[in-house]
Amino acid sequence: MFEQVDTKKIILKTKQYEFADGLRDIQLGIALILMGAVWFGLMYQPSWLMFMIQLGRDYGRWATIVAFLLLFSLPVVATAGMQRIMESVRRRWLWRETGMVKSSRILVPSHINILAVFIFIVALILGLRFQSFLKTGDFYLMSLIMVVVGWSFGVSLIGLGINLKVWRYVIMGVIGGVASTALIFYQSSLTGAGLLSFLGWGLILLTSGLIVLKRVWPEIREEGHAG
Amino acid sequence: MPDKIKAISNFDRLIHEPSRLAIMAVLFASESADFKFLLNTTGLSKGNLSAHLRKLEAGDYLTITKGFKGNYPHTTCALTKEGRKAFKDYQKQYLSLAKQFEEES
Repeated sequence: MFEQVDTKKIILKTKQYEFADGLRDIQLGIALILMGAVWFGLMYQPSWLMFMIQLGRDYGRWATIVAFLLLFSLPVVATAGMQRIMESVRRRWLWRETGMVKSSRILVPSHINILAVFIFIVALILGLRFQSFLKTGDFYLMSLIMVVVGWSFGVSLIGLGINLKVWRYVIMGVIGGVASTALIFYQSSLTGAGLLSFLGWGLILLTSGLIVLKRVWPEIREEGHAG
Repeated sequence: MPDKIKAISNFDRLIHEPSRLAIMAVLFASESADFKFLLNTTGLSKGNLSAHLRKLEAGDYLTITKGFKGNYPHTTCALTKEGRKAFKDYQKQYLSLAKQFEEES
């Protein structure tokens, strides 16, 4: 008919580029580990809370509010900082020869996000409905929330993987989702369940990112020398 | 058949040219991309790529931002709203025509 340009392939390759060096996995992994650290700090060490309350007593309640905001913004600030570092690493080394791309904000299709929310709600309702049949501990509800959050996150990763044909996300989504289920049996400590969830997902993503980076690094170096 | 000829002639000429179509596809998949990435993806020469980018910019399909990263000049391109819509429309038109051809053959 006329000269063909495979636009689908070009679109897919451009979207995959963002995930080709593993830095995005590393960034998300570190952010989740930091969230786990904040969670652990708040839940396991109530002395932090006492310190915050004391701040309020000494300097007024605004001091407590500001301290809490600072604490909760830590992972956000860290993620933004990592974004800057990631851009700099890419500009100087990883993408120096191949060029920079600012990826599209919508990478997970909306129907997958809706499915993730749907799974969250349905699993939560079913979990509560069957609570009487299960041997539940004091923290059953929180453990259940951790499990369904894990499933929803897993579904989002699987959706991202299928959409972009980046199969490691499908594998991570399945592994993380299944592993999250184990949290239902860990009802002895809310702190532990939350920490395991954050650390688990964080470590899965961090490991994946490091493996990918290690694999592509020699190719990038070669391209750099050739260029 | 005349309908199909009419449909082909209705294609957006600015996008239909293969090199510009490739540029549009890259930018459609991202928020923005720099000159080097477009050069690598399309396989065009610097001069050719510049010429195509200028044409697309003149058609209000993309914006070109020239700046510096450190001491080096850095050119970034991004699709405009019109460009995004034009690319979507083009794809729809193209797919529907390709389907018609397939059904007949």
